[in-house]
Amino acid sequence: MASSLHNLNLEEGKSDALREALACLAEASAADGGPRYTDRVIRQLARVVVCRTYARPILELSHLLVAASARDGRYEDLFWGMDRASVGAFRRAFDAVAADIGRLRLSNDAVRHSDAPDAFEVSFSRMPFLAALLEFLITTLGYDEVDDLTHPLRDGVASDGRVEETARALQRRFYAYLKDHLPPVQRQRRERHFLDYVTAGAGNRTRSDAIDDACVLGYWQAYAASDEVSARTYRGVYRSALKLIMALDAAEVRLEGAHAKSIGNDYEAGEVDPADVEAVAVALDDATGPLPDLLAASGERVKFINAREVERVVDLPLAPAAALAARRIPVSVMRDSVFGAYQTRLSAAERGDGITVDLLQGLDGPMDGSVYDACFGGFIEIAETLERASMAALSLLHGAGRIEAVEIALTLAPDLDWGALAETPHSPDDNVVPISVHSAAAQFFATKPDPHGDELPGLLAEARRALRAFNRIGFKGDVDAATLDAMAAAAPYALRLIDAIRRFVERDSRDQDWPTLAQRDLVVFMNMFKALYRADKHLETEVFDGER
Amino acid sequence: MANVDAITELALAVIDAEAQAQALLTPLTARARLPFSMLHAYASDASYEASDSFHMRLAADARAQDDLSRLMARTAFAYMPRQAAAASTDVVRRETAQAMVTLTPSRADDAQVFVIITLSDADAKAPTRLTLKDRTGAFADFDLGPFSAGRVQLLLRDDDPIVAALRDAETEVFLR
Repeated sequence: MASSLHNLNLEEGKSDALREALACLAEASAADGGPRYTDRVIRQLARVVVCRTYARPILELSHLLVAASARDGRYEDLFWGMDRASVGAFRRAFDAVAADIGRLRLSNDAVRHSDAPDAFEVSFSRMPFLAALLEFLITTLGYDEVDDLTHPLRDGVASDGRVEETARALQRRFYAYLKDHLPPVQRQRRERHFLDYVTAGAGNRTRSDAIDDACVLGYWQAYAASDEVSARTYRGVYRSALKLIMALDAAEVRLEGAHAKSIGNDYEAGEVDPADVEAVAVALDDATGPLPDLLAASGERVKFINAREVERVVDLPLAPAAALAARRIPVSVMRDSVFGAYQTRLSAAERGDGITVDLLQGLDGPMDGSVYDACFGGFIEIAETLERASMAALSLLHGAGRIEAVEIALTLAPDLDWGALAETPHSPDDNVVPISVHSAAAQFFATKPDPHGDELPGLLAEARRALRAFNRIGFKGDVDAATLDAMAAAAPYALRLIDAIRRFVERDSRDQDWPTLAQRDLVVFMNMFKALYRADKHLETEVFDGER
Repeated sequence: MANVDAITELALAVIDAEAQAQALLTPLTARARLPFSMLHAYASDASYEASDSFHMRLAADARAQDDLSRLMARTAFAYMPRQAAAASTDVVRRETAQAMVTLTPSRADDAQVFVIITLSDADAKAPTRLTLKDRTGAFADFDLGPFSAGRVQLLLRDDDPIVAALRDAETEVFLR
């Protein structure tokens, strides 16, 4: 036992340098204090490290280094000369290099450093990730080593053979580093245990089809107090179930789709292709939902959604893959929102000052048969607030002549007669209505709000009213250009968040008798919490302490 | 249809990998190392005002010191590495193709020393900052006054830290 504990500590310590390097990248900041690399890029990097699928990215990076070194060999100035590692920043940087250096070839989507017909292209959309990979290699291996290894790439005219050879050298070096610093993957026990439980009662249902609301609750009731597996919190079990549905569905698509292949012998040997693992993991990434995107784009400049509202919807499965999976267990989603959240408070109290009877009986007091309906009502309130914020943003962005106002208007009022904007005077005899994007945009921005008008003037008047009544950061007083930029970037995510919340409340969850479920669940969860948390014991302790 | 067991195995492998990735993304309690982007900002901009926190973290991070040294050697106007063999006497002169730094005692006052920087090309865009990396790995910046005919001189006390560092063969010198 002591020996295995010792080994465990050694394994944990083994990855400290990797954790430190990833934290270092996450800390890298732009001039405005925002992150240099997005959360999504950092997660992508961690995934590539864990799955050890770095061979292809390092090859891409090697080609990118040739292009970035084309001007004077100083690739650092291109990579770190920009504030944020973004697609737009890389496009602008390469535009500037290509203007000086004839041999670089730029298309709308990519850059290449050779005129050969089959020349390797590096997509602009990959560059933020490749920049993070380069900084990660420098942080882990050292700048001097990366600089020496990539030296053959820096005269700007490296052949494919030389690029591949250099990439292989980098891959070998990184492989050696990970051998010393990346511990073996730990098998997640709860998910396997849960899946065994599900399979045992699945009948003829297989895979994710066998996971339903009943088995999520049943499993938690059966194992919450067990030492056999860590399943004390309903939220933990629910999240495992949701994750499994997503992973099983994505794995099925992966193995049956374009990448279908024979898995006979390899699989029997227990081998899983790391490329499959990474591809499926990408589908699971919950950082791709509208809420994280909205928060990242808004920064501190503009508040479409406040902290209290974030807290209420942050655990909803609103990212596309999660939302799809959640449709299979809609009751579990609501149980988590109501009782899972409540249990989080109980657990926090248990770790802190202890659980009082008042806290444990909170379920009997403010909570009643309307808990789910009240929770749905809360979600809709947040969607309505986001709609008012989007209307306010429409008013400001329209007034500032920002093209992003068009998308907001189109989304908020899809039933408007938008064709009228694009029409230009024509003879009644004409069969074809000439449409000009430019004239449509010009008419859009020339339209004035009119509370008595219909169509666009009416919408703009409503937006102006919303702005006057909306009193949050970024929407008050004089709005500067940087705030308008943040607002324009964030508004599409706010619209997607509204859509995701409404879809969950009004479509995915409508076929349930929520009041009846609430009455039944109150009893189930109350009994479970009483069994798990023993408030009376804490009270006795408090009374005893008080007497002493 | 793909094998059910293969699908399950892949799904579980993904969940294991995601858990490990998440564990790697959980920061350690100790402050992380200095990001390379911060080192580049310092190295590439002579007017960059590094915070005290930057210098403290740099002093505790030997790898970052090496990285910064190499980066600055590439970006600086002139780089004068540590002397190949430790001199038994004080170093009073360092020279590269771009510039020369000399220490000359003041004739008027024994306790004072002139630090004279002379550019090889008097018309070159003159550096604005002298950066020293001492034998402990600490970096220190000193603003230079305007050059005249490719030359600038500073009158310092003999025990000034700049003078002491310049006399030490282990000190690396960057003009930038």
